[in-house]
Amino acid sequence: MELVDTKTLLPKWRNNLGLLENKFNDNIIVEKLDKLLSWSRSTSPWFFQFGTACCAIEMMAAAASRHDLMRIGMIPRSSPRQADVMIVAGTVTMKMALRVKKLYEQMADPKYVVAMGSCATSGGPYWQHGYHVLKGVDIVIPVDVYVPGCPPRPEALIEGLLKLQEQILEERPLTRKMA
Amino acid sequence: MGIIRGEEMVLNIGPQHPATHGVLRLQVRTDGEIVSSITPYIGYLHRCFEKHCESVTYEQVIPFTDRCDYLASMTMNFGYVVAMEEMLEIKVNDRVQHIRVVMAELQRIASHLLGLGAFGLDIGAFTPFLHMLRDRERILDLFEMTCGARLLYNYMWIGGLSHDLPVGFVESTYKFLDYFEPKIDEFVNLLVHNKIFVERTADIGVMPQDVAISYGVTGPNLRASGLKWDLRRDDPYSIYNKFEFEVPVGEGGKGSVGDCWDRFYVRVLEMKESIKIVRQALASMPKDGDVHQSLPKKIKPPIGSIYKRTESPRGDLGYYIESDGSNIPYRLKMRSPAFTALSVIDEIAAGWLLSDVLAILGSLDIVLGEIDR
Amino acid sequence: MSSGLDNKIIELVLSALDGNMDSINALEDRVVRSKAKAALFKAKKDPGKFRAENTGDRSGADEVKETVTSDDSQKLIANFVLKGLDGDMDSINAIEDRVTRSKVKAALVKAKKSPDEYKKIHSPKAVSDVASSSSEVKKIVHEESINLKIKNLSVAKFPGSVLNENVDDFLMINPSIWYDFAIWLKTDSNLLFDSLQCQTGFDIDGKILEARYNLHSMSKKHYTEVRIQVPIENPKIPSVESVWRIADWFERETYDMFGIEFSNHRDLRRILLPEDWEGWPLRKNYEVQETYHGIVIPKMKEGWE
Repeated sequence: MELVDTKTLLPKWRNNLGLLENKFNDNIIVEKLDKLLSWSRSTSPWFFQFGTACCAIEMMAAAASRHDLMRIGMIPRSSPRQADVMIVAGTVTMKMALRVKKLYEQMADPKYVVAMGSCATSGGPYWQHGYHVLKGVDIVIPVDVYVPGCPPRPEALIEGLLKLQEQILEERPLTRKMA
Repeated sequence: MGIIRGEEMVLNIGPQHPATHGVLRLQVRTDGEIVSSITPYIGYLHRCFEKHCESVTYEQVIPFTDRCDYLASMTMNFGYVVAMEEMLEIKVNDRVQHIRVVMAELQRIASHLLGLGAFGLDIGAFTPFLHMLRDRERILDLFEMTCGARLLYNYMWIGGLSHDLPVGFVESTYKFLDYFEPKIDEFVNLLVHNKIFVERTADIGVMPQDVAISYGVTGPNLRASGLKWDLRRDDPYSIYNKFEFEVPVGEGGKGSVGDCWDRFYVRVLEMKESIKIVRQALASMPKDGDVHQSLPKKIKPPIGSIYKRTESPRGDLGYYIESDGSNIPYRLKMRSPAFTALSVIDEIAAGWLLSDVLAILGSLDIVLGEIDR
Repeated sequence: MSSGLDNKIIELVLSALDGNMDSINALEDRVVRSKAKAALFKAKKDPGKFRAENTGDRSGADEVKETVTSDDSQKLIANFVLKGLDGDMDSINAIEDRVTRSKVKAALVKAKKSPDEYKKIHSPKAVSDVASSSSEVKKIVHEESINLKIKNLSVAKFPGSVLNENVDDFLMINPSIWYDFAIWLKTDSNLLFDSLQCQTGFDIDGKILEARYNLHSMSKKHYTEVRIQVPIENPKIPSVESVWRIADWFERETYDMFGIEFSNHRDLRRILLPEDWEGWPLRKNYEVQETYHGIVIPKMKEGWE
C-alpha cells in the first residue's frame, strides 16, 4: 500500500475564510471599539421564544423552513436568561401581564423588545369591548420595535428584526453621554 | 424493605415554556420522578370572546372566531356560518358548499401538520417539524391565493364566501395533493415507526374510552381511544354526506388502544382521508354559481337558540347562539374541543414519569386560544 | 290578487322561497327582476303567510284549499283536532278565527270516523318526521320526541321535576332535584346520556340566571337540552361534576363568568380570570374594575383616543 501524505488530504482553506485566507501579513483593523461591540451585538440577537397567541404561529413559521430566521443570526432560546430579544408575539392579557414583566426582568442586559402584531402594539381587536386585554404591551415593558399586522407575515417580522439590528448597530455603549 | 416514598415536589411548567404550546401553566406534583397529580391553570389568553360577541353584530363575530383557534381558522368560520345559516334558514348553493369543504379539509391537513410537528418537537425530534412546516406553507400559499391571508382568513361568510376561487386554484390544489400524498409516507418513516419515538409514546398516557366520553373528549383524541365518532359521518353538516371517506380509529398498533402513539397515528391517517375528500370535492365542484348569491342583507335571526356542532381538527366544535331578534347576539357560547381535551390531562398523566407529561400534552394537540377564548 | 302581484312574480318568489334563486337571477327583464326581488324580500319576513295567501289565491277553488294551506296552519288544525278527539272541545270553541274554527270542526268530523289512524298520522312526532324529511339538512340527533319521552318517564320517579309545559326545545328542571335527575339521565337504560356536550350560563334581563346543559348520548344518538333557572340574588345549583367529569371545568367557567355557585363542587375556583378578579363579566350589568394590580384597564368603549 502506498503511503499518502496526510497533509494533502486537508482542505485547501482550513478556516473557511475563502479568498482572504493566508493572503496577508499580521493584520489589524482600525475601528471604534464602540462600533465593534454594537456590530457584534447586532449580528446575533438571540430571541426569546415567547409566543402567546396567533402571532406565535407566524413567529414559528418565520423561524422554520422557508423563512429561516437563522440567516440573520437569530436563534430561538427557551430561557429568558440566554436571550437578547424578546418577541412578544400575541395578545397580552391582564393575567399574563405580570408574568411578561417578570420574564423581561429575568433577561440579561442589553435587552430589546419587539412587539409583534396588533394585540401587542395596541390591544388589537380585543380591548374595545373586552375587559381582560392589555392595551399594548408597552404599558408594562419598554418596546423597541413595533411590527403591525394581524398577524404580521413572517416577512414583516423579519423586516422588524432587521430594523432592530440597525438600531443596535447605531448604539454607542462605551461613549460618555452628554448631560 | 418497604417502598421508599420520595419527597413531594411541586413543579411549575409554564406559563412560558416551549412545550406548553402557548401560555399554559401546569402545576405538577411529583413523587420523585413520578407524577402524582397535575393542576392546569388556564386563562392566560382569555380574550373575552364571548363578551365581544355580545357587543358586535353577527357578521362581525366571524373574525373573532378566526382568532380563537388560530391553527384552524377555516373550520372555526365553518362551524359558525353553518350554525347561523341553520338559524336563518339560508340555503347556499352547491359551489359554495364544495369550496367550503375543500377549504375545511385543507385546513385540517395544515392543522394536523403543525400539531404533529409540534408533538415531535416536544419529544425532541426537530427534523420532522421542519418537514411538516415546509408542507404546511404550501397549503397556506393556496389560502393566500384565495383570500390574501396566511393565517386568519375571515373567508366564510354567513350565506356565502368572501371571494370566489381564483383562476388556477383547482390545478394548484391537485398539484399540491400529488406532491403531498407521498410525503405522508415520509413522515411515517421519520416518526411513526421510529424506535425512539415509539418508545416515548407507545403505551404512554392511555385514555380509556369511558374516561374520554365522560371528560367530553372528542375528535381525533376520542377516535384514538377506539370509538368511531366523527360528526362529518354521524351528524353530517354541509355536504359531507356526499363524500366517501373512512373514519380512522386507534387500534393500538404499537401498544394499547388510546395511547399517545395512537393519537399521533390517527391524525396521520386523517390527513389521508382529508386528501380523499378534497379530491372528491374538487372533482364534483360545479363550475358556475355566485358565492355572494345568498348573502342576506340584514342578519336578524328569529328569537330562539341553536346549538350546532361541527367537526374541527380538534374535535366537536359547538356554537350555542341565543338570539333576541336584534342584529347582535344575546349570548354566544363556544364549546371548544381543546378545553375538554386539556381537562383530561390530570386523569391520564398521573402515575407517569415527568418526561411523559410533555408527550401526553403534545399528543392532545391543544390550542390555547381556543381553550381560553 | 290580494297583494297585486303578477302570477309570474308570485311563482318566482315561491320558488325562491324554496331556495331556487337561479330562476329570478336568470330573468332578462330588469324591471320584473327587481320587482321579484322586492317581493321576495317582503315575503321572507313571513314566508308561511305569503305561501298561504298566494297559493290559495291562485288555485281559487275551495275544495283543494285544504291541501294547499301552509304546513303551519295544517299543524295547528291537527293539534286542535287531536285535542278534540281527546274530548277537549272547549279549546276548539275558543278559537277566534272563524275560518280556522270551521276548518277544525270539519276535520274533526272526518277524523272521528277513524280516530286511531288520524292520531297516528298527525301526532306531533309524525308531523316532525315529515318536516325533517322535507328539509335537505338531515338532523339525526335532534329528535323532537325525546324531550317528551324524558318528561313522561320522569313523572314516576321525579314528580313535578319538569317545569315547562311545552318541551319541544328544552326541559326546564327544578334545581333542587337536579343532581339525582342527572344521574338518572345518565344511567337510565332508555336514555343513557353519557356525554355532556356543552354547559353554559345565561343572564336573563338581570333578574334570573340560567344554566343550560346540552346532553348527548353516544350510544343512543339522541340529544336534549336542560335548563335550570335560579334567582340572581341566590344563584345556587347542585353540581353534576361527579356525573359527567367535564362538568367540573364547565361549571368552573360558568361560575367564573356568571357567578353561579355550584354546590358540592369539589374545587370551585375561577378558571379563566385571575383569582383576585372582581365581578362576573358576562352578567349584563357588569362594570369593569378600574385597575388590576396597578394596570389601568381600558375603559373607553367608542372611537379612538
